[in-house]
Amino acid sequence: MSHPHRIESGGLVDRSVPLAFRFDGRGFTGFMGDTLASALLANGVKLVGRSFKYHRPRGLLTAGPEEPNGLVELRTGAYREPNTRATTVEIYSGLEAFSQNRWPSLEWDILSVNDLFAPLLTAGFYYKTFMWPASFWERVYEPLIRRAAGLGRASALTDPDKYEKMHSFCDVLIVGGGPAGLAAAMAAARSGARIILCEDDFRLGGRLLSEKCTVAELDGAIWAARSEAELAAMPGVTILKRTTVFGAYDGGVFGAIERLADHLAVPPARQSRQRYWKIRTRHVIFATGAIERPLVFGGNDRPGVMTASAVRTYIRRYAVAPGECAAVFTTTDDGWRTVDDLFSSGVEVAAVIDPRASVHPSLVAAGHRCGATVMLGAQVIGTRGRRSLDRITVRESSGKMTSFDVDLLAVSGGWNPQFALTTHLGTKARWSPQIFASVPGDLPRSMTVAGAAGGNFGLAGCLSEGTKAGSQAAQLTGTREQVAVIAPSADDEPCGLSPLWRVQDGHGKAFIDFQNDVTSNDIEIAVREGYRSVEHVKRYTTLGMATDQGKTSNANGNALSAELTQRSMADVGSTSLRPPYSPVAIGALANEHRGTCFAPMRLTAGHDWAAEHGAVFLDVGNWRRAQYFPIAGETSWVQAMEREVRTVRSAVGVCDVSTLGKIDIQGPGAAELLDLVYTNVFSTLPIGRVRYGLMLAEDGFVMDDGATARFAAHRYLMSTTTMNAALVMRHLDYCRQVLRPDLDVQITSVTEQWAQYSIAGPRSRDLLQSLFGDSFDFSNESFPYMAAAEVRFGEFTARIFRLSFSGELSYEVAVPAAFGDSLIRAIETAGAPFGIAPYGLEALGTMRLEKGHIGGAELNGRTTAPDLGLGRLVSAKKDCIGRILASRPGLTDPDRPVLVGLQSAVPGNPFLSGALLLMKDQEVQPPGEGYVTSAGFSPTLDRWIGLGLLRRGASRSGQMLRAYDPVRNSDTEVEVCSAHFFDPEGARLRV
Amino acid sequence: MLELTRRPAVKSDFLRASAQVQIEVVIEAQILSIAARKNCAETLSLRIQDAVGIALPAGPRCSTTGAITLLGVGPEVWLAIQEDASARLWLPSDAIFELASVVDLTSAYTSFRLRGTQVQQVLAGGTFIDLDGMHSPADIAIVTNLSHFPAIVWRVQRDPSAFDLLVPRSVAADVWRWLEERAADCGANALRAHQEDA
Repeated sequence: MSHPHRIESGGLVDRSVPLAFRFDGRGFTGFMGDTLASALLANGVKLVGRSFKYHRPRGLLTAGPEEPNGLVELRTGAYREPNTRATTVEIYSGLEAFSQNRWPSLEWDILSVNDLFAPLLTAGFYYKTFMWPASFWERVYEPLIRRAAGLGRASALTDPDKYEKMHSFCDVLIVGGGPAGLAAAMAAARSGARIILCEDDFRLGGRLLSEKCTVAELDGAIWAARSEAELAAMPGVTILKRTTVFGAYDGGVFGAIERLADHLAVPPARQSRQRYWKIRTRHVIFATGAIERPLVFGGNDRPGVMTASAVRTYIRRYAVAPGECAAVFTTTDDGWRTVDDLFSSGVEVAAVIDPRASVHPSLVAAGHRCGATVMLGAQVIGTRGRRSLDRITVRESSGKMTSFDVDLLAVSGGWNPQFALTTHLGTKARWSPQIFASVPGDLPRSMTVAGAAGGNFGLAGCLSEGTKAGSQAAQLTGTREQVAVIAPSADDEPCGLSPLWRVQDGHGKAFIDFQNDVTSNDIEIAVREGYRSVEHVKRYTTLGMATDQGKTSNANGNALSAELTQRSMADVGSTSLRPPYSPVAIGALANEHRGTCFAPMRLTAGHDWAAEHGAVFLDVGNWRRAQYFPIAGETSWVQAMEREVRTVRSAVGVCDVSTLGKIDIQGPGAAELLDLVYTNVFSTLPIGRVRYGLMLAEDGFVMDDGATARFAAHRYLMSTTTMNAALVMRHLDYCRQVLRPDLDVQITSVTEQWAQYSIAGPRSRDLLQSLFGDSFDFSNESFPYMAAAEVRFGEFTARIFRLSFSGELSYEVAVPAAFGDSLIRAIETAGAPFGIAPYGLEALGTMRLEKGHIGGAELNGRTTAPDLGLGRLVSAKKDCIGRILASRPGLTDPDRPVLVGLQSAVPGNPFLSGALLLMKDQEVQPPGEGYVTSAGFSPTLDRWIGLGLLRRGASRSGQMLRAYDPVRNSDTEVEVCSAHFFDPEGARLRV
Repeated sequence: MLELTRRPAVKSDFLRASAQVQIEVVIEAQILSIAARKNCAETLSLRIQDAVGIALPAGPRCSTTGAITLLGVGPEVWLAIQEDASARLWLPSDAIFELASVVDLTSAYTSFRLRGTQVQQVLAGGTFIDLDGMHSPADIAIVTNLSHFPAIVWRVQRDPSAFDLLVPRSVAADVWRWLEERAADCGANALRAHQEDA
């Protein structure tokens, strides 16, 4: 097992567990505990990707989640996942990873030719090009741009993984498991607080795992492991590793993604791939650390140029030497720490270049001790190397140019505190001239920042701040014991710096945003073209708009904007940071809500019976309703629908109407409430009768309709349409709680309580009389049209209504839903001698069309009572909700479209709902004269009929129009007629 | 004479059982909605106490005596639940009817009982309510959503490790599937009624 760049000893990898993986088809091995990035470096792989725009060769810049270059595709087929950061991918046996954004191979990428055309592809080039010839846009430019744009390839297959969601609560949420986070967690937990500690990494410790340091007289990594063990044993402590907190929301709510199985080849059976956590906390401590800034100089994107902290991470945590001969280019004391780590791991250190004129003598001495050439007041101005670094050029303080042949350049430009989560709720960052970085602004009392996230970069300071934050958070949340918690001891290293925002007059492109290929030149262009706001510069140049959201680039870009516009960093400010902090899989957000679990599935009590009878179901809202019941020999829904309609018109049919909304209204104020919400009067409705009612919204438009029965002086039962049941319930609650709190009325939704069936057709009375026997008299004299009754049968009560939507003699029978299945089977048995057939929504819809009843298409929120021919239902004797606004000029305009009937001029010629209504010789010009709201073939009339909303429709009966439907390519001549096609006198339903 | 038989929304012969999670359908729960008439809540509570031995709880809480549980589910609205299959449903007297709208919702809901060491984990997958016994009231009763299902959840007073769940009848089968899935995630395997794997 040969890892040419693996250091012989040390590191936090398990050398006893070798793992084989593949990158771009080549086989490699790594160790348990390696990331894909560290394993590739251990194998000497430096070229890991191509840049977005110029397709320049790119290597790893960092060792953490901020990585802008090392984006790879993981896995294959349906499991393929693009844009995954190699620096965060734990390797496992059988891992397959692929570089992306290159063709045909990573080494030979055709589109690297873009680099030659770089002068044409600068910031905003797409706003200035592709203008001519205009005809090229759709045929040439757009297809080319679409082909070139985008990063990575999403799998087009259904995601086979499982995702889950979990809600959790705590007193203190600690984000980040580095020294400050661990100290905070220990302090808060020891004080008795219920805590959740989230860490993005698969190991707690943060920089303790990457630095040579001592905490409480222990090696930093060992102290972290012991702290974790102690925390895990404490009650009320939840440790979530591999968990990224991606967003902060109102009410102390945080979103987090836990990667449960991303480090496994395939999740075990029933194991979710990721878990979406919704955490509500009383206090949050952000111990999210800081990210090292790269330096901006010519050729700074060449593979082999890496942040100094990343170099130390690869050496100390992964026992990987990222190069053989290195130089360090640093503006910080911290960068100098890399020299010793490089030297100790056997890497030759050729030079340490620091633009500062002087640094602490101990740093210089350390450099000399390692055999490095120390160059103060110097800057790297260029790099060389075809696919990886082989030489750097340094401009000394004297102006003299010196070159060093190195394959690794560690760069350090200072640290940017990571406090993005603190800004999600609107808190603005502020500039700190002490640390030359933005720090969190004034935070709410429920938020604390500790350690490097707040700009404290020293280890002792981090531990001290973390401890203090944990203790205080526990106290603020009112928890328990006042425990004196002492911060663990540690030595602080010097961390002075002097910022260098860019190297002037360098050789080659100086990249600021590595992922989006934004150079210092692009920022200059944006400023030259008048962009001043960092938000505008961002959008013009795409700075910080890639998947890494500018974690390594925003500060440098903003600093350059400040320099170019001669403003201070405080004046320039920073762009807004919004959730998510890092990319989140859509599948994780959707979690279980997909496929059949996308929405709740509501089943009626008669569902199983309908399924047994071959029903084809349709989702109506969340309800699953029978659309039609095909029988042997029927090959289309039309055949089934026509048979069902004919059965109802000639014999008897049964339809499940349990889904209609049902609201119990009781109390002395019930009648008054109904008079308020309905346009017509219900206080005069006799007990044992039903009345059709029309309900307006406050804006005067029709909101819903339905029948309401009165069972006692102060007890009504309202029915609503299926789709508006919840809306009407809310409306009634609003009316009684807000508009008329003086009314003594109580409302209860009883939709779920009742299973209800419509039995319609000339034999319906015979059927029900047979079913009920002597217990109820269904004769016209005893139970006339629009009657209602309650009948007690042993342990249940049945409700019977004489209503009709079909236009036939018809009844509705309701029983408690527990008896609903039994009732439909009883109806079927009793109806057999009368030729009963079940009918579904298609037949129901056709029959209501034949009768001219309005449905959901007409109750569209834009129609008034007069529009629907129901103006007579608006009582002049009383007020009702919506009455005043219904009389607005716009709603009483005689030109408004009103409901009309439509029939095809040639009976067999179809027309469909949605078609525009045009004059016969009119050009197609929406909105035309109106449109068809509902249409279908009537088996009763043997022709196509429909309803439509037609301008001045009331006076246009007999007129011939076009029903023009460009979407479905039909153009049919139709005649305007009465909407009441069948039995307009209603004789059949009163027999 | 119409003769009908009762059928539950979820087949009752299935039980998911393990030490981690046990879920059963409480078939015989009978449920009344009681909404107080205007300015009558206090008197109503006293009369309920006279009738069943416990007062109506104030706010989102539950009170239990014998087989009757009273849940606060809205402003001056309660559910009375009687789960004793052998007993007849407590029927309010006229003294109650004159102070409240009383509606039978026995068929409107399906009742589940969840027990086991992982019950809170199962529920935490669906509801954003802190059910930790250390941090929520012992008599907590919540009208909430479980995943995307409307639900009423409360702690069983005579068995604090158990929770009862009421869901609308129409979604009961879907809730059952969801509970099965979540229970399996917590280690319970599908078993026939009254078998246990622990």
